[in-house]
Amino acid sequence: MYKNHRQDVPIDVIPCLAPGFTFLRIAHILPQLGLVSVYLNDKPIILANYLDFSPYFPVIPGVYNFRFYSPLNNTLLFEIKNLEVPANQLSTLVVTGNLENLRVLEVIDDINEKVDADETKVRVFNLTTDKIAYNISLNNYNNSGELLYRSGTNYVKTSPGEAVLQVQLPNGKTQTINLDLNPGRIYTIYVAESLDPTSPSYKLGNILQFILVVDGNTAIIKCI
Amino acid sequence: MSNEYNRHLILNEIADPPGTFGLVQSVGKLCVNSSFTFVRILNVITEPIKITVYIDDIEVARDLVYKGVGYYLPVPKGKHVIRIYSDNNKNTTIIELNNVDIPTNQAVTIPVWKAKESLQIMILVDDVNQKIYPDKYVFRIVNLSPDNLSINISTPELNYHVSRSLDSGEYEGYFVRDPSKSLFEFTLPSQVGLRPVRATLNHLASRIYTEYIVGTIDLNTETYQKGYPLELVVSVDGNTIIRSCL
Repeated sequence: MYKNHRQDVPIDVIPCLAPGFTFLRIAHILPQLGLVSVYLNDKPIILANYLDFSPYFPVIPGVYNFRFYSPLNNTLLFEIKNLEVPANQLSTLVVTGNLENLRVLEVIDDINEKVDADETKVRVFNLTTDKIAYNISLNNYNNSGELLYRSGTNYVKTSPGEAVLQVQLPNGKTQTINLDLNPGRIYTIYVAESLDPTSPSYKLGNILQFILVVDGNTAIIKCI
Repeated sequence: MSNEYNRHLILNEIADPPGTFGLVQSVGKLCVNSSFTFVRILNVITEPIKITVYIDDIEVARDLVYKGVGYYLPVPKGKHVIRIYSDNNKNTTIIELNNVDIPTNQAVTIPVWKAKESLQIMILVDDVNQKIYPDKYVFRIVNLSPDNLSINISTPELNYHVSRSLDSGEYEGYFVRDPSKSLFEFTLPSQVGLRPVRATLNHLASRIYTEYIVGTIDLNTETYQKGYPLELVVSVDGNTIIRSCL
């Protein structure tokens, strides 16, 4: 169960999720906001900038109010009330949308997911606000079907290295992005709207942006 | 180097800068706040026993053999009771400590060793505020010698003494080094005439290490044959990946 030291390698850092805890991270995908200070009830937990995925932090399961303050003047920007944090999970709390229409999505980074050192696992989550289902394929293999708003694929194995993600857009065009996937990683690709409709790329039809994240289940294991 | 070793250092990676349009990359890390600390146990008792360790009745390490280390797991704020059992037999408590103060907002390694026939533990803080350097490594030396040996440690190629007469139960560091400079020399000031022991250690940049000088149970080691009843345990510390949340 516990790792024993071998002579040829240093003792390693292996974090584990103990029973009765949850490891949570906050994903700040609110384009209206820059740096925010996140409070768990009345206690400051982390600072997060736009497009930041915070580190995972331990939380005792329970019902919490998440408050988001401006660190500049301590103004309460918004609040997520009575959010239940269940036990024994590795989770990403994605906060997206805009202040008028806040959307909160708890994405479970399955602690039981494993990856071999010579492979990569990838899943895709749709965070777009337009409630359109997308067809998404990785390396010309469609593994999403119609990926609905607020939903994601399962993790799929793929070869490490260069990969091509293609998304069929409602206008009939395809948006393509090249990825460089490292071996031994479990990734999530979050698909969100592009922020800057005035950019040349947007005008060329690239209406989406992608956030490639290494999930904690790459390295964090269950203690027992 | 094993794949598993590489795998668990992934959390220390720096996210690649955004490249292709619209792609942002981020890497999952761990952080602590004032309500928790991350704790792991290191067994360097110079006896062939396995230990199981509980903190506040929560099992934090099971059946750790000599030089075995547990995982880092969260421990909440407060005073703690640490119980250590031998060979997973809860009837055989080999040490029980009450009101143990483990600082929060940190990563902590708790080595268990035997000094002069008495079991000892140390609350060794792997300081989460220690700076990490992208092109250098950081290390410290801890003397857990079972015979209360005082030890001189130096890096001869730099003609530099890391520590003079480091007593058992004490530590020095952190020191910042270039990864290419990793030859260490150990001498015992109490045993004049012994040739120094040299150890070339392969340290990687942007890591934080602790070198534990511990007693040996293997009498066939080269170090022991040279007259040093000691071994070196090299550890990547939790503060390599665990940082303060704020």
